[in-house]
Amino acid sequence: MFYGYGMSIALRYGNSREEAVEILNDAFMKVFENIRKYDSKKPFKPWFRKILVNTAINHFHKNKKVYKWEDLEHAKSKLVTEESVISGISYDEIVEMVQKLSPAYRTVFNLHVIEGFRHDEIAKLLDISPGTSKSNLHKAKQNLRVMLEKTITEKPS
Amino acid sequence: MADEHQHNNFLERLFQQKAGEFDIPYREEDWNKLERKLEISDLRRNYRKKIALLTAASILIISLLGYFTYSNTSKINEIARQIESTEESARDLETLRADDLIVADDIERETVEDAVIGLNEVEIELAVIEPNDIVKSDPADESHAQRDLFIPGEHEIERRQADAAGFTQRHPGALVPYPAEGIAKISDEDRSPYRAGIHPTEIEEKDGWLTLRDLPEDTGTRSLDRSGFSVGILISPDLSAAGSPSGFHDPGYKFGITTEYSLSPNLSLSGGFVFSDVRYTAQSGQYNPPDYWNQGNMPIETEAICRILDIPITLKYNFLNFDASRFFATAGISSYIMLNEDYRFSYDQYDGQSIQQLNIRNGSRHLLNNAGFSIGYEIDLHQNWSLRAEPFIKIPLGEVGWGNVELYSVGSFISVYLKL
Repeated sequence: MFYGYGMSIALRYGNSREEAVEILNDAFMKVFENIRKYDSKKPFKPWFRKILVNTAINHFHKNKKVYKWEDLEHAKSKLVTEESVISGISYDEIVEMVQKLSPAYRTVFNLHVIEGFRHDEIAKLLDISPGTSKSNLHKAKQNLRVMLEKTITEKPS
Repeated sequence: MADEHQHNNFLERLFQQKAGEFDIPYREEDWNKLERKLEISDLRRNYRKKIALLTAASILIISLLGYFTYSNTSKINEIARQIESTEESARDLETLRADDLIVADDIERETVEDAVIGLNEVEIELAVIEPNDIVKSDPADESHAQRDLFIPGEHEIERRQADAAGFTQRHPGALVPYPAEGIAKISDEDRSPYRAGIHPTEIEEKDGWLTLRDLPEDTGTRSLDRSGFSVGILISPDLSAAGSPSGFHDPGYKFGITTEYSLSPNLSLSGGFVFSDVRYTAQSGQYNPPDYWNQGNMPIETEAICRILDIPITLKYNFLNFDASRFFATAGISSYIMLNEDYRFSYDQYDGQSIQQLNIRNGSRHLLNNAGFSIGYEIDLHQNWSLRAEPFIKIPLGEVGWGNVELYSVGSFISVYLKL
């Protein structure tokens, strides 16, 4: 029941499906170990989501020195403005783009754009400065824009 | 600028919207992975329970032995203090009696002289000075003196002397029965070495009797003048292995400093910092990096050189004491801080891309995750210095390092301690 929901979050934080499964399974283990702390009067999903996001942040801290990734070249291209075209992009394509981001950019992007954390909160969670958080978000968006353009241009019209 | 801002907002909206449109099919293999994790978690939990119980039992046994030793020592010290007081009281009384005799002699002599010279006034004056008047000048002072000095009455002393004489004839070497009716007077022969400091002795309880036991010169005043603290430096070879206490690789080393506090003559608590150079080889099942790491291509063998700061807390119990040496056992728990981790990976089939070396310096902390046990021998080199040889084994209560390894270590500490 929560597999799909959990995977939808974990996939955005991991750089591959395997890493996402690792994050999700670790989160499930934490849920099993801490199920007594769960207040059954409150909805389960937010509690589970919190555990999952924290687990993903822990993975980020644990592995930030061993990630192998390549930053995308910043293409100076025209901004994509055709919402009608972009709306045709699938969830899988979106996840693939996010996974291509560096771990630092990806994590900040997820925490700020999807989870709604402020930069000062992200700075505390990731042990970075708020300025670095803002800079990472900016670079993440730049990279995503490049990828979006590439995806759109490669799509048959 | 405005276009970029608008586009950023659009990008955010797009990803927020798409993030909720998931349709992820269930995969059996993901569940299998979780099931394996659960099984391993159960096994580890059971293993940790066993080790924790073993550690707790060891610490409890050592604590109990220490407590009994401490309480017995306190009891014996209390009795020794009482004996000392009784001796002092007896000495004081003897001194007073000797003074009485001198005064009596003086009185007699002066009385005779006075009689000869016919000074009746002086005779009357001296005649009223009796021995009891010297001791019992003031009833209030007398009660204070008797309470403070435990002065028994004259008849009581004589009775006790008679009892003690008979008792020591019946039990050569014994001082007093314990716990009997009280503390009897000690003969001068028995107490003279102790009192004079010619040969240090200590009181020991044996078969319900207290006897004097000779101590070596060096250790005679061992527990009397010191703070109870000791500091030591230690060094040891280190043989470590992952997963089980066998299959050791190249030896590493340990060195560090430790502080020890004596809770009783036989029980002490210590803590310290031990820098460890740990080298081990782990097979594929013993080294557990994250599954996704290296695109899931796991090494078949990992060689590790790790620098670890080991922070142990240890209870030590002396279970066999000799004149200037002793055997002891320790049990304790350690916390590890990973200072540096160097790994080299070997693969079954190297694809040319997999990571072959890895260096981690994240200072990960593993609190109370290692139990340590040792049996050792300590010899006094000097009044303040001692040397120890202490073979040890360290058993994991949890995993350490980036590879989540259950780390076993054996070795033998050689240490020098200074009593403060």
